[in-house]
Amino acid sequence: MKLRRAIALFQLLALLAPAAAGAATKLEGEYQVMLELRKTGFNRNFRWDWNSNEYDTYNNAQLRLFTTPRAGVESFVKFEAAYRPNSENDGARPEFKYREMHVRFRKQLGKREWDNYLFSRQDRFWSEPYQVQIFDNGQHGFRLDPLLYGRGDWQGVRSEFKGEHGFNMTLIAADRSNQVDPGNYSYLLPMTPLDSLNDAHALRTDDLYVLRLRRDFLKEARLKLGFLLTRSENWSSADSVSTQTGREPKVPGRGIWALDGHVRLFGSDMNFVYAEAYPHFTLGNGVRSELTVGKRSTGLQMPDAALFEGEIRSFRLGSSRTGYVNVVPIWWSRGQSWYNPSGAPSGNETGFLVQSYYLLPERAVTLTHNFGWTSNDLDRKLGTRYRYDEMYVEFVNGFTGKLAYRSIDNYGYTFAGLRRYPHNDLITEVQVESGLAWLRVQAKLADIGNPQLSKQVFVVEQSINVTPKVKFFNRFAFGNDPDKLRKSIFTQLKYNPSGSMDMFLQYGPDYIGGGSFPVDEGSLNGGGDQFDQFKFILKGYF
Amino acid sequence: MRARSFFSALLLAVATLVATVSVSPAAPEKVSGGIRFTYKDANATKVAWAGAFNNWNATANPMTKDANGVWSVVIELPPGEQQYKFVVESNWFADPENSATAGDFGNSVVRVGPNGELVKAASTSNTAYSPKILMGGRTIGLYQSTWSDVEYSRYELQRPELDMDLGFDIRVSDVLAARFLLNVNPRREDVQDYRSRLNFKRGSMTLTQPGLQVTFFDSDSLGTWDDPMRLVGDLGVYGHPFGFERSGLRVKTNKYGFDTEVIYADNSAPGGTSAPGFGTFVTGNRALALAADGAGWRILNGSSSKASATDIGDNHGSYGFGDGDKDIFATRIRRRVNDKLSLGLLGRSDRGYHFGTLDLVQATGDSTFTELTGNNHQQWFGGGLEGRWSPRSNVTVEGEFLAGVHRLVMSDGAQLATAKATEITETGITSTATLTDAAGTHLQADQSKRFALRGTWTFAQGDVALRAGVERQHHDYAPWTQEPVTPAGAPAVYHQRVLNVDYQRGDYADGSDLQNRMTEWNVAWDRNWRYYLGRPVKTTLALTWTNFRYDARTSWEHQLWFPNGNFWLESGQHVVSTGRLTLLGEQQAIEIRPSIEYPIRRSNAMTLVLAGNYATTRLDKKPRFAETIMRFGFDRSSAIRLQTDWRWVKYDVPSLALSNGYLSQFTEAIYRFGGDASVSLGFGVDPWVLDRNTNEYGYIGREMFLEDLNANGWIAESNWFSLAPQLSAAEKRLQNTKRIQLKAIVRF
Repeated sequence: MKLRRAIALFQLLALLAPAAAGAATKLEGEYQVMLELRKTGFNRNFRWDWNSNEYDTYNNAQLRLFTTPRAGVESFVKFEAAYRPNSENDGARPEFKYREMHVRFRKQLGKREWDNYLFSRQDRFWSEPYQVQIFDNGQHGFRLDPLLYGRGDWQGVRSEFKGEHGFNMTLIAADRSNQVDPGNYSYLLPMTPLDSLNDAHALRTDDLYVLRLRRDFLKEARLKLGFLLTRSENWSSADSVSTQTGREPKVPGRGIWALDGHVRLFGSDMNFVYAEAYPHFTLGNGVRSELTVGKRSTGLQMPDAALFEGEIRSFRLGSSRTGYVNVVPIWWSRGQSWYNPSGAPSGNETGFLVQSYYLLPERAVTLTHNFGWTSNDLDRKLGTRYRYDEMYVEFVNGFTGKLAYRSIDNYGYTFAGLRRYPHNDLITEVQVESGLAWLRVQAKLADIGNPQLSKQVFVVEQSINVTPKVKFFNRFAFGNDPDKLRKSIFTQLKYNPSGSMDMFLQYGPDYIGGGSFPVDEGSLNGGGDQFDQFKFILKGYF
Repeated sequence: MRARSFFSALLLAVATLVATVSVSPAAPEKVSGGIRFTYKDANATKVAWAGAFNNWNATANPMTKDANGVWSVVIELPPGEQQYKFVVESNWFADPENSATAGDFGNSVVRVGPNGELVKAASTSNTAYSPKILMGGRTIGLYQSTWSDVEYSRYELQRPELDMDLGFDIRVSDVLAARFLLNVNPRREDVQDYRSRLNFKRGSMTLTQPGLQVTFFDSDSLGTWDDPMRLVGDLGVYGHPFGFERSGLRVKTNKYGFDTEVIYADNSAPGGTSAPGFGTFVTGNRALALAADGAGWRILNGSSSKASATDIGDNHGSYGFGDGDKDIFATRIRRRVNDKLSLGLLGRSDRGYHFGTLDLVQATGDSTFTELTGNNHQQWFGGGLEGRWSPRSNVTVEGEFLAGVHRLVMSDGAQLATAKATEITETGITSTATLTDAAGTHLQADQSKRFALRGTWTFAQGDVALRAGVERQHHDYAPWTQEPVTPAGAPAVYHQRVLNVDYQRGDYADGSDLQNRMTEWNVAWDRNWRYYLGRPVKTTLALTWTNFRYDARTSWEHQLWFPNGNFWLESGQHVVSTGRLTLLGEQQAIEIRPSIEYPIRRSNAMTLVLAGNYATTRLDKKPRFAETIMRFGFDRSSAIRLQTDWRWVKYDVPSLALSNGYLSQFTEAIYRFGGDASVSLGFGVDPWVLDRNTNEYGYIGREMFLEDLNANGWIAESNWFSLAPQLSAAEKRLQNTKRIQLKAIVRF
């Protein structure tokens, strides 16, 4: 009874006490109309077809309801108009449907903060990298693919606690709810209640649990230690659904655990990660990973289900007179039984990467040299050698230049024995930017020396602020393949009369060379070619 | 123990009361010293008023909170429009109690008069959640139980129809307005109820600048052009405005003395506008005609053959739905010459509907011919002049002339073979040919001209209106588009196999166009008898006389009764009313439509309406179709209205052996909860039904009922002899249908 009275008193005090922020509910959204005129393309019956409301020319409407009924409490839900996905896309009109939501509870007491999300169709899996970035498998955190239509298909809880001394604890429990369409198995579930255990068993979907701990030690947090534990419950494909057994577990309760440390010594950060996959399944012939320096064995071996990575970020060589060379060496080894059920990377690989850059004193010139090697643990001859050299120059008046040489050699066996597959690229870039305009010219000689693959790729991009409200953007791209000169022209006029609306009038496909580094974009390096297309887009935000 | 429990409960109650009791805040109001603004947020610690008046200073005008958690401030504002927001802590909010907003950021707005009073501004928001959104909609519930004597003699409850519209009118910024409509209707969606979605029905955005208005629309109504022949709009048998199931843009300007309107639209709905499309061309296989003379066999010069695999509907959707990728371009430029006269130019082009394949062989000499093969689409384009003359305020004369071409355009990959026969026998032709690219080749199908002149004269303080008009249509069809018919008296000819064209008899060879003409005269007299009878009794007498002149070779499907492919009336709309079905094939069609609306008692809105529709071929003959509608209704009280709608129709069509009369009725009692909600209980077939395109109720129920039971132009066109039994059966069904109906309409 004392407890009840205490609760009541607490409730009264909580209601009487002023909150940090006022209650508010906002209904916001956006509406977009997109019109297109296309000369050729798929499923078009005549030239210069005026078209609308298809997958690549769609009108989108969105409503977002955001409410903060009390300080530290928020709720968010989003709806949008979209066509039915995949096989159900037979509707004449888009449908307004649920897109995503979350509920957030946040409490701050001094330096302590407790932040919790209940999320649905949002990818709230970000966690501190448990492995340092490497050149070929540069994946941070979890890669939970495949996602449904490029959108999140998990829902669950993410709870994060931040305390003193950099203490951080993250707990994630999520269910991949969209993995199975219950509608396809309705015959299994004739008459069951909403919370039926039988249903849940027969149509169970993958689960993921994540625990992440981290704390700072020593003065100025010179030592940081972290621990990561994941557990993944994966079930076999939905085809095996049966009334008796439901979905059988493929591999029950697999996951990884990891220890990571970050030490700051002499101005450099030294990072390491040691991780093991569990339970331990010996794969292949059980060869254990050797610790090597370069290609030389040290005689030391790691468990075959373990991952080890070390990184120094970075140490400097030189003086103020000669200039400094900053070097970031990374080394990693993933045993052949290493397996991360919730994502990447895969096992059976040892490698290193040394990244270095040198700022020429009294010259606005930066030289970069990266060199790396990855190899198969079972056969050290199989692997990839990577080399990247770059000179970056800052000229006057905002001009910058870049000249880079990239070499990637892949090794593989043929009937004739071990063979090297070289890929040598020369990349150059000139860029200039001012308050009125921006210009970037890029060129790449790809696969130099390979008559079957060699190509030259050129991209010129410019953006002109005609007025504060009008921007004009152009991208001209050319891909000179051995047998064809491909081209792409994308021109866009953007008019932004106010903060609540945008207008675009554009010509050409926007995706060819449309990335952050156009000459490396897949569509430009592949077979992307120009076709005639005008698009008009009007967006309103409310 | 009990005392402790009571104390705990008391604390909880007090806590709850503190949390819930408050004084409602009010909209801005004029008080002594200025305008009083209020904002309710008991949890907030700091609220201020900021606006253009204080240069959006978030601290200059703090608000004070009363015991109920309502913050307020009185500000003396100068006359004019004043925009403002509340700054709650550091967050900016529009005034939830003020429905008027302006600007890109949804600022609240008040208009202050010269004496400091508030002037009412138009609402742009009706939800406190957004300063830019006006939400509204309506729900209709329709529950029908129909007597079924098909298997069991009993009432069957049909699948109820629940239709809900949820609309958003959005003021995105001062120059951009948007709106969209969401709809739920499981029955229309044709899915199980639990599978029904909130469908995105339609939307549009309108950009308004001085002298310019651009509307981007997605299946949203753009209206109907007001030229006499309605070049844009009048969609289908129910005359819908243009825009439904189309996406595109419309530009309107009134610069330099010209009113200009341009529409560019795409048919965005698979299958066309909720109505089946008909092909213009008859599918079939034909062969070139041969003739024999003393020197042997020769090709009959000018003859043609056509083998079309599918002329309609192979793009989006199934057979019979062929408007998949139709593009529409229309423009009108109108200039007012003086106060009495305005002139306009207008044109329209539609293309891309009725996709199909063609194999057309045409003789070019007695031993040469061409063969055109490939995919194609059809195209209409045309335009003309319009004028409007008002010599006096009560007299208006308007006229319009349109000329158009309907043609077939060969698509990429089409080929033209130019062939010369090396050997011609009674059973076959051997030839050599050269092939050329025929993409883009045009083939003319119908060349048409249309002319209309109409006038209206009102006098006697507007109580009398006389209307008259004439409309003339000329259509010239290329012979190859027609189903060949052997001309009377023509010599017997033989038909040979050419390439993959099947052997078949029947052809004509003179090669001349088929010329079909139609003239329609309209006269009408509207009269308001209030001066003589002391109450607004309104009568109308309208007469339409149509004269058809057909080329004897014209196939049934190409007669102008069936306006197929006639883009003035929107392609694909099969407009043949029930009355006209009884006149099909005649040279003359006369329709007389008298009506009287008699307000019997004004105090309870008791009204009697009689309306007739009589169709005949000559004025001195009995009407073949005589339909009389009687509507009667009155208010039983301010909430209850009783009304009934009766229809009596008499057929007298000897050629169809139809001579029966049919009577049907609909009676209902309506309970009105106010202007926005009503519930009605009815019996019979309701003439008011939910229109598929507009989502609103229209007086088209009986026409749709009959059409649904195959008493329609489709049947007439494809199987004339089955029209009589279908008409008879449909009318009997309408007469005998016993249906109890509960209908609820709520608008919000």
